[in-house]
Amino acid sequence: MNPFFYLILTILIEFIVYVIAIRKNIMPLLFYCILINLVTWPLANLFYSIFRMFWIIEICVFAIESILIKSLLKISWKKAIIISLIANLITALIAWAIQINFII
Amino acid sequence: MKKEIIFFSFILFSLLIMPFTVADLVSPGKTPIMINNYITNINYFPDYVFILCGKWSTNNFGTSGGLCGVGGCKVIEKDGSIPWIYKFCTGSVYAVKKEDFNQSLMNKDEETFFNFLNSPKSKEVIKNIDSYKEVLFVSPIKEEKREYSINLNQLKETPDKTTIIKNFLIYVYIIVPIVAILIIVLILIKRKRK
Repeated sequence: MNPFFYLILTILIEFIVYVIAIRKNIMPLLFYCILINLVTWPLANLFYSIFRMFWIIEICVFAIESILIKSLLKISWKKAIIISLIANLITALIAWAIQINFII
Repeated sequence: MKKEIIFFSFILFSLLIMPFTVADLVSPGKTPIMINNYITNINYFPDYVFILCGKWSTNNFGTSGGLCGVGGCKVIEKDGSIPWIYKFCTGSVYAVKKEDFNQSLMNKDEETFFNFLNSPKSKEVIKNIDSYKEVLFVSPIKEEKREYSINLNQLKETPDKTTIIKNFLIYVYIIVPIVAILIIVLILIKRKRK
């Protein structure tokens, strides 16, 4: 599968989480979601290919995205962390399931 | 603000989409690259048949008749393209005069065929050919083209020319986050100034 597909899928899932949590300014939300994922997604893939530490990389992604969500969406730390946690948990589980499926 | 969003989105998506449309999926971790071996002057020797045979990397001929053994021996076609060699084997090219070569020899038992290859009727002209190499995922090297020119009086162990084909998709994984971070920083600076 083209890696671009997985990026789109990640953006889509995280965008849905953002929309559910914020419920306003949909277009800027989409833009920020794309921007945030363009920072974390390529780096996560790059580091995963080198270090193979899936969950550690996912935790780093969660931390970086929390900071970016807080800064860009101008929301509280608590809300930013929850959004980042839910969004990354969903995408990480999907990525993990895909990975397991490939191994099996 | 809307115009800026559209502009930055266009730049980012262009950066992302363009390389993916021309490149294959990049495998994770260490990735194998293709090594294509060629004989550039095979047509200079119309009286000869060139045979590629694999040896296990321990320098012995295979004993199973499989990938590195007789089963792995192939006649090299007139385009000079050297067939693929199993990753744990290295290949040798033997020159045999057409009048001395009989295709049915290759179907006989290994010992008979390898005795023939080691006889004066056959001459090893290239050795240590391989088709498999692993590079780190972050390496832009995607393919290697190795060219050999045959000299019947010489046993070549290295190619005459090696061309490395690179694919710079890897740099997209580095450049895109940098560009995205810059845009985020710009947005945050702009907000602070307001």
